[in-house]
Amino acid sequence: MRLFVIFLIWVMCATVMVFFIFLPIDARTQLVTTFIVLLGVIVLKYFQPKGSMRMVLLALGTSIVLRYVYWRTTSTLPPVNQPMNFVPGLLLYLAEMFSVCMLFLSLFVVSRPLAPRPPSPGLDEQTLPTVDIFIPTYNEDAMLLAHTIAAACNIDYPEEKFTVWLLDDGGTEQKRGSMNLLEAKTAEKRYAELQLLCQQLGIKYLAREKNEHAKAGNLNNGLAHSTGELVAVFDADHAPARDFLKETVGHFSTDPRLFLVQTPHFFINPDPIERNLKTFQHMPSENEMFYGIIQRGLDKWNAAFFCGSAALLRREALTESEGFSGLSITEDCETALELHSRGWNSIYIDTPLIAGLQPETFASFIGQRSRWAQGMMQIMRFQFPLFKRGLSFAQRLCYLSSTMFWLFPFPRFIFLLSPLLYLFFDLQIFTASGGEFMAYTVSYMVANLLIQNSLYGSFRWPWISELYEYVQSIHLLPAVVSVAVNPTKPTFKVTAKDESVSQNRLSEISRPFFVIFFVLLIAFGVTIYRLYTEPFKVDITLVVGGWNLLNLLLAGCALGVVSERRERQTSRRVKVKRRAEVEVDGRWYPAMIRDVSLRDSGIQIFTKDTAKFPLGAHANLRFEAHGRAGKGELPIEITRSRADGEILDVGCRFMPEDAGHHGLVADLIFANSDQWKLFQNSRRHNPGVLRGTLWFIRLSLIQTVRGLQYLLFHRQSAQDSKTSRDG
Amino acid sequence: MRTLLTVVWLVFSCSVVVAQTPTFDMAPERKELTPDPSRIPEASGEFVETDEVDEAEAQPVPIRYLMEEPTLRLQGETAVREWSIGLTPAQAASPAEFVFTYSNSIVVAPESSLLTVEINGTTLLEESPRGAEREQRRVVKVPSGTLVSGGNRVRIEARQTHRTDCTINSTFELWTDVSAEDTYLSFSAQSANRMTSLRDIVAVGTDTTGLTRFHMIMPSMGSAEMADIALRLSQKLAIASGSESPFFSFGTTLPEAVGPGEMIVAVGFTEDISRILPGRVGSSDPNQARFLTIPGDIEAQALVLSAPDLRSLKLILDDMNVQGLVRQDEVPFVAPSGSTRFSFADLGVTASQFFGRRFVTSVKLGMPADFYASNYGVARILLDAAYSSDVLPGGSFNVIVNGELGTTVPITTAGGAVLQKYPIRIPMRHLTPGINIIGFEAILPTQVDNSCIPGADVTDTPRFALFGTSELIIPNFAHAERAPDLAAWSAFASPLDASGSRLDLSLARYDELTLSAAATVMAKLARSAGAVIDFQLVAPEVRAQADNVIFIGVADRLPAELLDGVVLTAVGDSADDIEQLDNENLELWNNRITQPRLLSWFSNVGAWFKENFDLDASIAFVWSDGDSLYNLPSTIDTFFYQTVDAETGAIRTIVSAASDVQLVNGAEAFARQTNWSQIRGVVSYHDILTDEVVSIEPSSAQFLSVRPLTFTNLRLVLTNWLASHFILYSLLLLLSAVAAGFATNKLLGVLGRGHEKHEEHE
Repeated sequence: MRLFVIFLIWVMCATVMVFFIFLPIDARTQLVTTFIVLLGVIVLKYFQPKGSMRMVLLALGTSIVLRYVYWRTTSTLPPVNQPMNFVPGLLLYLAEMFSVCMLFLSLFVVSRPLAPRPPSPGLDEQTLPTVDIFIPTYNEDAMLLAHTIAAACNIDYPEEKFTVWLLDDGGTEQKRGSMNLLEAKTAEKRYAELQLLCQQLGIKYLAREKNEHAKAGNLNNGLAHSTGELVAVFDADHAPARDFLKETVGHFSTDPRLFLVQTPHFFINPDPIERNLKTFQHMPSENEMFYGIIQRGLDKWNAAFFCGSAALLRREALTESEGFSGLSITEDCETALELHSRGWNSIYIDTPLIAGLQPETFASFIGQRSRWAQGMMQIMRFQFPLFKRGLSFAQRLCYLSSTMFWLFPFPRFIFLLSPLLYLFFDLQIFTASGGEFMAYTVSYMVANLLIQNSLYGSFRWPWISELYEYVQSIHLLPAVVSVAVNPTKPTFKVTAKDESVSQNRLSEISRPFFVIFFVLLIAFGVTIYRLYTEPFKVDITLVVGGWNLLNLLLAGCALGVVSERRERQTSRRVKVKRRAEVEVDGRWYPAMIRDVSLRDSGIQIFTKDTAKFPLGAHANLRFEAHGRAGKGELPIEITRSRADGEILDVGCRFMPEDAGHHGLVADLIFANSDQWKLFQNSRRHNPGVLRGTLWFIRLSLIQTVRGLQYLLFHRQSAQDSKTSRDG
Repeated sequence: MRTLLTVVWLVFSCSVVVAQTPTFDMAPERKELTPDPSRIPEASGEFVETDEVDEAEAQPVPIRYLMEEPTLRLQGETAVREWSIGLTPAQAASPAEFVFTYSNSIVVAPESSLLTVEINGTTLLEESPRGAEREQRRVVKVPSGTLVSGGNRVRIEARQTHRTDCTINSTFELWTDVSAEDTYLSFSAQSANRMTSLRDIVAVGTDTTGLTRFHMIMPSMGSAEMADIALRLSQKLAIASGSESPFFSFGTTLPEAVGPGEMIVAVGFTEDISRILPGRVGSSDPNQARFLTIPGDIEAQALVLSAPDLRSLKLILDDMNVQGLVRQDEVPFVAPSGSTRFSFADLGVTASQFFGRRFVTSVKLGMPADFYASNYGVARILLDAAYSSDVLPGGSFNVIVNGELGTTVPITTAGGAVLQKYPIRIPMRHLTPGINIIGFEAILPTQVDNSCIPGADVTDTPRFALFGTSELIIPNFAHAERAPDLAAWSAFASPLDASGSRLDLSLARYDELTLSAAATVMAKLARSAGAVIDFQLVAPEVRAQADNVIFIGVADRLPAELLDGVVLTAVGDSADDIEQLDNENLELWNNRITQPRLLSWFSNVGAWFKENFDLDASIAFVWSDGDSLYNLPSTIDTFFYQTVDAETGAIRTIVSAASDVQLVNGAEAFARQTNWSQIRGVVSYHDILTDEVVSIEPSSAQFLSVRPLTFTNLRLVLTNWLASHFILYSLLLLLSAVAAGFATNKLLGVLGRGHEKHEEHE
């Protein structure tokens, strides 16, 4: 009853607001009104309001956006009988309306992201459920797998209660018996190698007969061979922290209808864009907006979905849905959609409990995104979330938001082209005067930036969304189009995570970015020319030219994105503080491990005996492991050293020889998830719209210059990197 | 013989010019001035040339003046005027001559210009304008069968080109003035102007100034009863005459002379009338209005209404059935609800090709009395037109609404274009209830204009073509009657014509001058309403009643509280003038000082805001809605002022002036339709010095009725009201958003997860 009353009041308030917004008011009133409303938004935003004032801020922003929508719809479309103007004009209009729809969907999703959940209730050792840990793999190398498996084995959970499974799709009978001799040989070798590794680490190895339904099929095979009540899934490059199960298992006992506990994907290395722009250390990663806000927002509506890894699922639910769904190539989201529609619940825990690897090259990054985009398109096609039976209305909107997001290449592309139509061909696809542009479009854009910033401020800096969308659009557009044409065609392509960029070079898929950049640059020249030669339409030229300039800034920044920097540090170093001892020539020196990555570490050794540690020297590192490994020794090689009084600062590379060694490395780096949280928090601050914009302009100018330098001096692109293989 | 002489004279006079021109080094002009015998209209034999002084009305012939204004000016490269005149059957049947007198600007090049006069589609005159040096008078025989009984359509068109200049501005220097004094139809039949029935009143016509003058002879005026009869009669006469500009004067004796466009009307008791018209009154049917010839010098007729007593007189008046002139230039009105589409052809604009550089055309459009969309509304023209590849970017299409620039659409593409339903948005800011003039102008500069080679102008390829399929779309707009709103009042007599409502009319006195003003105003209102307006005369006092009242009279004699809202400045009370002088000086000094760059940038931005949004600092931050005083300058005669009684809601319209003479002078000024149609706002007055009508918009107005009472209309009315109180709109939007924000927050508190957090803790 109370709910009904509140809902009624809300409907009334919203109706009144929409009524006022949709009055066909004149431009003068619009200008004054948006000025006042924007001022209100800016003042409110300054106080970073929570609760009701945050909603007021969003409502004010929404009012400006809706006024723009009303005006755009009623006054700006070119006449239908001018197809040259009307068709592109309509496309631009649709693109803008799509963006507005997405804005409102995301406003709904993140209207009130769920606060961090209280820790799950204490676990009773006796009634703990049994857990199967699945590590599906396809082509990852044994060393990478070793770390992940070791980390999985290290998980803090009664040993008899959980089983680790390596689900190998690279060593299936089908592969081993392949007609392609080389492939058969590789598969045979991999089969033997991984079996040995699993034996050493004491886990189960499973390879199926045929590579059917890609990852979903592989996981279902795992399900068929196992019996645990709960199933954890970790990608081959996602090493879990020790407390993974402790943090997640308890929730299943609280809610018998819970089918999923999803945790964030935390990456210890930068994605190629972060690496090339050098933003990894100080700017929040791209996926943090998703895991930091959006999943929490989805969680409020019981719509947090399975992201393929770093999650714990209930077998009972999976049995009901006959395993993981394999209709689309994003089996994770599809499975969650199916189970939500069957009345199962999900939750999301905003604590990084796994650490993963990002693809190293821009090309493989794009490959990964293509899969996501295509998969989401398939879900749109096969089970359109808005009409999916069994889902609550909120869940429908949430899934709509998640899947429709991937249509962004279309509007992005249209936004890129539209100003060119005017600058090059003089088409009038947006009928408005300079004054109206100011009163409506500019205020809309400012409102949009302010809304985005107050929603995602410390997780996503201004213009970064646009940049990521732009750099993906160029190659995602054909992918999305192809799935629209032929929804069953796309196949699961495994993202390569084991490549590296050994020298500065242009990405092999960089050419379109340079072409676009130069076209936009010419358009910029045309703008200047027209400003001087056509004084009678300065206002329109200024507006369109300004828009093109914005595109040029994005395109310039993208040049930096596709100019791949040589990798200095192979993976992210995590700061740790662990007592240890280092042995050289049979003598043990006390030491402290300061930072650690998957491949190397920084150690302080308490000694004046610097001569004992020359570069290239082999040594052993001994420390107390948190997990089951106990006290172990890890072979290392000194890669640098610097004496500082009593202390010798050395860098060393790990030289793991057996599975135990991998367990030690995993222990060092993955044992404590708190440090990941600390690192994330260090990057999470909001520069604000103005400062963020200035920062982005500066970044963009620098990256443009760097991109052009690469074009001149580092043109040879590496063709040897294998980006993907069919699965 | 005379024709031959004229030709000789013309050739001679031209050769004199030719002999003179070598002293100027202006070869083109010499060429242009060379006479082209084939173009001399006199040679055609169709025309009868008369010299200015020739046989000027040796004996009075019946004539009918044609103009509805003192001087008709045809300006620009093309100009067309079209209107209707009424004729009696006798006039239509009589052989007639058409006299046409004009002069034109010296810069009009005759050989490439053309003046055309048509009546009912028959071309009476077509010639190159030659009135640069002195007025030209033409007398043309009207072909029999051209004139018809009732409405006749007169059309004058001028196409003019400049002798030396090719700029856009030079097109404003082109004009031809048609003299109202000397442009008329003269009829051979001596009795052509004789009126025999009430229907013939339609042919009363206009005088040399464009007015139709009714001389009301009322020997026994002074009583309310006679005033009542006079004011009803004047309305009927105005309708019967169909005159745009009827003016009534009152007297007790016959005027000494009457001319064309004037009419004597004698009203009164039989005995009084027979004293004025001895021996005539009893001769025909005394029980109805009838025309009698006045014996003696003035050779005129009088419309006589006479009866032995008031009751019979009223009966005669009631029996007078009058029909208006069926005009052929009826103005189309927008539909009472919904949007209206007019094709240009519907509005009287047919397809036309244009060779010049500034194309102008205009249409008339009627808006209803409850038009209430001037603050937000946007009309559209869907233009079907084409311009040639010669036209340079930098030209424009302009839409001018009631003399105010509404929209400018720059031509931005070179190489010509065919525009199909090209949209031009027109803010409805300058539209008012009543008849509106929407002008369309195309500015078409070319490279040829820049070099301005003489003769290059005359080309076969048109620069511009406008098609009749172009459309004017008036969207559905807000309908609300409001008061004060003198525009609706003057254009429709609104809200007086609302059925069931009774109008009180209150005259300060029943003397000649007051009656003259009252009769003229009521006649104008009747013309506006298209019907006789019922009223009842009441004493000039303010009464607490809901009926609408019109007060007419000198200010001193009206109840003082009526004019509380206006301040009349007495002559010599010139504090305003001093202040104005000071302001002018200040402005002068401001202009002299070179502004610092930054400041000038700011003022440029300010100007841009003013131009684009009609927004400046003063109106953005000041919002007054209180009653304010309206100051009237000392140089005015009659003023109109409308107020709404706060308690009863009665609308009081006051027609007043400082003195009797000013009242009548003002009534004569407002009798002219050009002035009358400019009445709007809360106060309107006629300024003697400038001969202009000035109106003041009300600081607040009251809604009388909002019809239809639908959601759509209410929404639009609210929109228009908010657009004029835009700060309020901002605040309302802000408040509604704040409320929605709070409500959303509450709703989010009970929806989805998160609210059960407390329970989880337990």
